[in-house]
Amino acid sequence: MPNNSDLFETLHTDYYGMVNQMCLGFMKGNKDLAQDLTQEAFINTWRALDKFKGASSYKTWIYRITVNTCLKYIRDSKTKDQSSIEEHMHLPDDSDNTDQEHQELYRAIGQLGEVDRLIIMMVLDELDYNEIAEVVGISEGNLRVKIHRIKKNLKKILENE
Amino acid sequence: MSDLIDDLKNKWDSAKTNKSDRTSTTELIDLSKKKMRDAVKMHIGNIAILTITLIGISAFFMYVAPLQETLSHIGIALMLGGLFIRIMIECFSIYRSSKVDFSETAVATSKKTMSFYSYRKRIHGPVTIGILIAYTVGFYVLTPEFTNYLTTTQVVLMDASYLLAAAIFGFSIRKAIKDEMRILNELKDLQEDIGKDE
Repeated sequence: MPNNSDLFETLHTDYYGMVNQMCLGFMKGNKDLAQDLTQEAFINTWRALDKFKGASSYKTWIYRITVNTCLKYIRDSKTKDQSSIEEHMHLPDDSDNTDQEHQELYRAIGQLGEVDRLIIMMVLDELDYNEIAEVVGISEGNLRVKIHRIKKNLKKILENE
Repeated sequence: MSDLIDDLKNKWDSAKTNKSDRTSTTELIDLSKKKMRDAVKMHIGNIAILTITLIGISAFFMYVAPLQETLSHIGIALMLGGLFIRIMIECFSIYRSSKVDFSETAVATSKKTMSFYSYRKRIHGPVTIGILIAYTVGFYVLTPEFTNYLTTTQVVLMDASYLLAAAIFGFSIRKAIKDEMRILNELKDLQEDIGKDE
């Protein structure tokens, strides 16, 4: 049985890419904000490590923490600065070398609501529907309806671009 | 529709990185511990300020100005009682805030967060306003006995300066309530958003 530090090291190594990608999508492609958010998500993972009961996979568990961290980050940022983080998220990242295609993807996802954005990113990450439902805390049936609506919205967004 | 999702999936996969310049695990653990220490310091700081005020006021009425009249004793009890309740609430708030678990589902976490902010709204609203009123009544109830020992000018200055302090405190309560209301409304929107399509 590995100790917490070893386990955390493994989780951090294995899921860093997944968490960072999700934060990048949530922050509409802003790498600096995504980096901060990824760090926050892993800090929350470290703090919650003792509470992991093994009822779900580590992957689903870390997704839950990431989703909750993303939703909290938006709330906290608005409290700290009324100008809101949303404004910063629309700023082009000058130092960003991410190619045009990726920016388009993040821009499209970024036009969705916060919850829809998180759900579609888990779909793109090929997480099973039952796992996504477990992360969000809704029924699989409800999730399917949501995903159908999100896809329709995304289609509209991409067609209008 | 599936072409659209496939296209997005391809873009999503190609955007994935596993950057080597990420924060190290040790740094993250240290950062987490530092944040915890800072949070504890902030909470303890608030409690310490309130406790020192409580002790200071108690000592003042015990050793510097041991007021004699029953009305003054009621006033002191209102002031000290209000402060004591505020300290207890502060301790309970720390306990409540620790109950929000980030590893639960988004629905469960937002419900718990909402319950915490509803509690905070009550604390910053009716409870704190009640405590402020009790403290204010307690303070002004002392005035009649103070007039026996102080000049009228001193008593007027004392009463007027309290008004200023109470106004500043009242303003900070209003700001806290507004912040809490905004967060609560956002959480309500979030829950509606999650529950939508049911």
